[in-house]
Amino acid sequence: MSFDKIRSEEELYSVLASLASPEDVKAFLTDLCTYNEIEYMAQRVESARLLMQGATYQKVISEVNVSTATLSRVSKAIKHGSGGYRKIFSEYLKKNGAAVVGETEEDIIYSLRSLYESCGYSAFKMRKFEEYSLYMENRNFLSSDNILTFRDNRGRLLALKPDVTLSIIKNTKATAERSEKYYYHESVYRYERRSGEYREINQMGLESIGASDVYSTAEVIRLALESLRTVSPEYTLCLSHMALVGGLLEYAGADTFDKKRELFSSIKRKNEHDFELSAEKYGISGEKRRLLLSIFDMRGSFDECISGAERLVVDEGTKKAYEEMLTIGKAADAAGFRDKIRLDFSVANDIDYYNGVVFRGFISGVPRSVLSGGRYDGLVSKFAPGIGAIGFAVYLDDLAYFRRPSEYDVDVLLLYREDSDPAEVLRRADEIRKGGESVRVERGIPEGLTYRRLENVDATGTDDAR
Amino acid sequence: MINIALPKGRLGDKVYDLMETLGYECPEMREDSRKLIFENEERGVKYFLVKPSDVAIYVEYGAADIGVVGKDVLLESDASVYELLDLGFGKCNMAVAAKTDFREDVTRPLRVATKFPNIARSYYESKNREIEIIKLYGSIELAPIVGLSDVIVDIVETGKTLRENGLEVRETIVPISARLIANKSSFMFKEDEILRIKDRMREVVGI
Repeated sequence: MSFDKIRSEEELYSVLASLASPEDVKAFLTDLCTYNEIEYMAQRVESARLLMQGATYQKVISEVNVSTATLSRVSKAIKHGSGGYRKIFSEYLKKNGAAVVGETEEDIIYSLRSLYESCGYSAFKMRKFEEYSLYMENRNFLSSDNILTFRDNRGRLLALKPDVTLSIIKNTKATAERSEKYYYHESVYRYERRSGEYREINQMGLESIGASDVYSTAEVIRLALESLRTVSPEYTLCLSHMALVGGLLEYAGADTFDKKRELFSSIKRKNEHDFELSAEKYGISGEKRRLLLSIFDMRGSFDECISGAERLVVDEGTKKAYEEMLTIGKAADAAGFRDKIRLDFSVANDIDYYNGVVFRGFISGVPRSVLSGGRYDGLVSKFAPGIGAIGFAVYLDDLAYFRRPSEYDVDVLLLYREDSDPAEVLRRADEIRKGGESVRVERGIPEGLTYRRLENVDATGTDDAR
Repeated sequence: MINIALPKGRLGDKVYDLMETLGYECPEMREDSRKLIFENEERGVKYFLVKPSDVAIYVEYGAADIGVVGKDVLLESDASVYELLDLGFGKCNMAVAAKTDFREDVTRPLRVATKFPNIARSYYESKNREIEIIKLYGSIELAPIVGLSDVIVDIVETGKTLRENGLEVRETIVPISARLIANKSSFMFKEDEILRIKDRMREVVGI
């Protein structure tokens, strides 16, 4: 009887699929493979996990005793393979609470979308422009006054939207008991101070409108943490509370809006020396001044900071804010995010509109914050009195800093001649793609293209990479 | 590894002296060379020497984790960075100066020559005074003398240059000194080291 390759492979796959426990798998593989084969497979699995969690080649090589050639095969299989790593293994990792990092912007968008949908947020689609008056009436909520405007055929002044939140909340039907939960993926148009030009900014985010309770805050903060984890294992979410800092400033004697704003602007810059000058100017002295300055001494972990922040409780309002922070800390802690949150009073948004928890997310290697949000009951109550809202945005463009560019433009450059048979060229290209590699078919070598290897359709053998 | 942007020149030299006493020495810096980047791997520190007005940009964009820069540059660029410490040296004033015999005509916009258009604009806006900005890159003192402008907005240290050119300080806008700044994201991931540097600097400069 001759050896039937396909049939015996299928037998292997179905017996593997019948194995129900790690013990069974171990027993079967021990008999099936040599010790070395099992070790190699384990190394590849670990390398794949590390790569999918955003580790660099150097880090994988130093942690797993694996050769560069093997690693590059694993990496290729993650990118172009049959989904064994990218789908099955990464779902296994996510189920077990491990982070998996998006490889490309599309991966990140896809992961964020599934994350938000898994929590019952629905997609919100909108036009690129709004009536200018919407932004005019809520100027302080926007990061800049510069808005791109134009007139429509009826003479109305329209604006390319500099912000998504206002468009979502302006017609909200939510009540305190019946929330609306939306996520979006939109472009906004903002003036960039540094270049003096308008930029199209690609952002994704969510809004939870209606409830103003601690649960809804905790839920959105959890989603912010999970969003950051989708991008990189090295992230941190800085939390602050506008009512805690604002209440403290009022207690200390910053009785007008301008005074509060000036003091806030120093806190935002962690600028203790100018803060002291302002405090001096406004006649804040003695114990109250010392209390205010202790804001600048908060450092270290969330736990250390939050216990230090207890002395900032000076009245009912600050007490409520402090307790809210404690609850949020506990909720993050319970889900294993203890090391990923910090208390940082330099996070502050407009004091008119933001009245509760505010936060900003950072990723190691990206110079600016990539996520920003907070509770903005003050804004939403202008549109629908008596309700609250909280949300955040993820700045997808800034994440581009973080992504590793791939080594080559394409794995294989396949060259054909004028007299090559098109069917044969396509057949060979299909074969390469089925082998898990990307292929570009050309007559000659395109200027500037980098590839792993070169192949001629009508010749045998391959050339080196360039 | 911590990356530090220092301004070329006197201020940068002074800050490097300070960093040396904190254990971040990099002997190469002492050599007379045209290199712009100096590294001491053992101490985990890398210095960039950049134009003083560019320090805030290097830090804002994260090429450097921390830097030292004059408050004048910070105000002018409005860079989004943490301003951790007033080092207390490099002290001077941002001021309005004019010819000693200058009398302001309040019925027309004031012509202001300066290297600091943003500072000048926001100062005069706060006074509700309409101005015309004339942006210059050097020898600002010349402008009022040859009739290019009515006044200048510039840094005044001792006032000697002003006096020698027949000018005097009319208004002081804001006191200036050197500041320690940090990139916001670097701060989150290197907080311990950055704050250690800040605390040691504070001890050494005695504030």
